[in-house]
This record gives sequence, structure tokens and C-alpha cells, in this order.
Amino acid sequence: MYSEILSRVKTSEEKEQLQDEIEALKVSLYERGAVFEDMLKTRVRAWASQQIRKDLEGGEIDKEKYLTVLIEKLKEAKCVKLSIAFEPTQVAIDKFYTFITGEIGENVVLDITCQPKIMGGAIIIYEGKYRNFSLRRVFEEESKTFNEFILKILAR
Amino acid sequence: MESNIIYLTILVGVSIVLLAIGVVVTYLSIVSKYINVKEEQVGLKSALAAEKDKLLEEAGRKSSQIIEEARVKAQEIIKEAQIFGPEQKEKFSLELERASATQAREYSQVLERAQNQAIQTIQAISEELGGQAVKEVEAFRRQLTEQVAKSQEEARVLIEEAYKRLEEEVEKYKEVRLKQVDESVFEVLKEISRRVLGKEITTEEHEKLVMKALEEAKRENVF
Repeated sequence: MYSEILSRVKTSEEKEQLQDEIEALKVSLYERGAVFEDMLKTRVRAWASQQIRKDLEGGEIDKEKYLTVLIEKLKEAKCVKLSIAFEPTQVAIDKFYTFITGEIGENVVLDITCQPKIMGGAIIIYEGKYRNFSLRRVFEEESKTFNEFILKILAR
Repeated sequence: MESNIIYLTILVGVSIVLLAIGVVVTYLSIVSKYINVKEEQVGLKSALAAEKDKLLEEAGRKSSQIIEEARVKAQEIIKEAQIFGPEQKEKFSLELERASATQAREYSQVLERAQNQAIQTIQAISEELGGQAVKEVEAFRRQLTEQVAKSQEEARVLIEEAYKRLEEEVEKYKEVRLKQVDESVFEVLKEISRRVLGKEITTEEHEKLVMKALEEAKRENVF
């Protein structure tokens, strides 16, 4: 039930945004009148609104419970931090997301930051593990050897 | 008459003896002063010798003068004694000559002894002064040599220390400069590479590099 809506949440920004929308919907449940429907139309993005209606079709599922579980699942989502040297397109984010969910399963969000200084590649942090696969690191490692070479030339 | 002659003779003899003693005392006083002056004027050997001759000459001249004055006075006394007859006068004269000769001889001997003593004293002083001067010159030469050697050693140590400090400063400067060169060169190289690569890598290539990083992470069991 939740996999479809969660699969649309690929980044930490999207997660926070959806979380805010769900919280607002949850609050509307306790207000009189058709506030919930109004909120779905005015406060929630179209794709999320459609998915929520779809999940709640038939009236078999309690709205409050649905929204509460959804918030819980969003909070439980695994976070993979990626530092990359460029501003990614949606296609690029989809590629990265697909690869990562293929490795660690669903309910994952990417916390992507753009750091041009790393020149290329990525710095990856997941569950306390840190790996620097940036071009800058490669260059710095190579530069140590190059550094000694240049100093030898200058010392002549 | 006889007693008068004897008294007169004794008087003259005593006068001559007193005069001689006076001369000797004067002479010894001059020699003593001379020695004192010489002790104070170390190193003036030539002046000492000249002073010695001068003092001896002065002493001789004074003694001769005194004797001559004594003779004149004695003759005047004899001339004034009109009461004496020719015979007594002759005897008195003979006695006087004999006494004069005896006193003169004794005076001469005393004078010679004093002169010899003075010469010995002066020679001893000269030798002592000479020896002392040689010792002092030797000590001064030794001290001077030691001082020169000490100064040379101090100068050598100072030069070595200054050279060492200079070497250390040069080494530090070299180190700082090399570090500056190191930092600046590689900062420039990194910046150039960053700019060149940043402009040349396309979005697709960036994506490929990120995918490659993810695959690498997978191989290292990050996920």
C-alpha cells in the first residue's frame, strides 16, 4: 500500500515536503466539514493527492491510521548521503535512486549536496560508513608524488 | 809653651777629624739619597752611572775644598800665634804636616772604602734591576702571547657561532620558501585542474562518475 507513494520520494527534500503535507492532512481530520478534501486539493501536490486517494479508495482503511503509518515510514526511511560536483537532473537522481534501492531495498531517500570542489565522482555516507570516490581525492593522492617531483626540480 | 803647642795641635787635629767626619757623613748621605733616587727610577741605568760619576766628583771636590779651607784656617791660626818662636813654629809645622798627612791618608782610605762600597751597591742595584727588568719583560711577553692566543680563540669561536647561526637561518629560510613554493604550486595546479575539469566534464560524464562511485561503494560493501 505504501510502496507506491514512498517510491516517489527519492530525496530528503521530497521526504520533508511530503511529511509536511501528511501532517497537515492529519490535522484536517479533526476539523469539521470537508476540510480533508479541501486540503488534498489545496495543500498537497497533485501526484501525492492522487496516490493518497487511490490508497484510501473503498473506505476500508482508516484515514488517520494511514496517515500515521505513512509518517512513521517516512521517518524510518534510510538516508544515503551523496556529495556530488554538479546539480543533478531528475533523470540522474532516478538513476542513482534505482541503483541504491536495488542494493538496499525500498524506503530510501537520497540526501544530495552539490560540492563543485570535489571536481567529480561522489562522496558517499551510509549508516556511518564514509567513502570518498571524488576526483579531488584521486588528484590529491597523485599530487603527493607529483609534489615531491616538483620539489626535486625546484631544489636543484 | 809646650802645652800650648800640644793643645793647638790637638785642636787642629780634632777640627780636621770633625771636618773629615762631616765630609764622610755628607758623602754617605749623598750616596743614600742617590740609592733612593735610583730605586725610584728603575730602568735608568745610564742616568744612574752619570749621576754616580757626578756625585763622586762632587764629593771629591767638596772634600778637597774642605781640606783646603782647614789648611788655610790652620795657617791663619798659626800666624796669629805670635807668641810662638821659630823653633816652636817649626816643630808645630812639622807636627801639623804629620797630622795633616795622617788625617789625609785616613780620609783617603775612608773615602776609598766608601767609594768602593757605593760602587758595589750601585752595581748590585743595577744587576738586580736588570734581572728584574728581564723577568718583567719575559712575564709581559708570556702574558702578551697568552692574551693573543686567547683573543684568537675567542675570535674563532665567535666566527664559528656566527657562521652556524647564519647556516641555520639560511636553512630555515630555505625550508619556508620551499613550503611556500609547494603550497602555491599545488594550489595553482589544483585550481587549474578544478577549473579545466569542471568546465570540460559534461553532466552525462558527471552522472557516469557518480554511478562509478556507487558501484565502487557496492564493491566495498558500503550498502
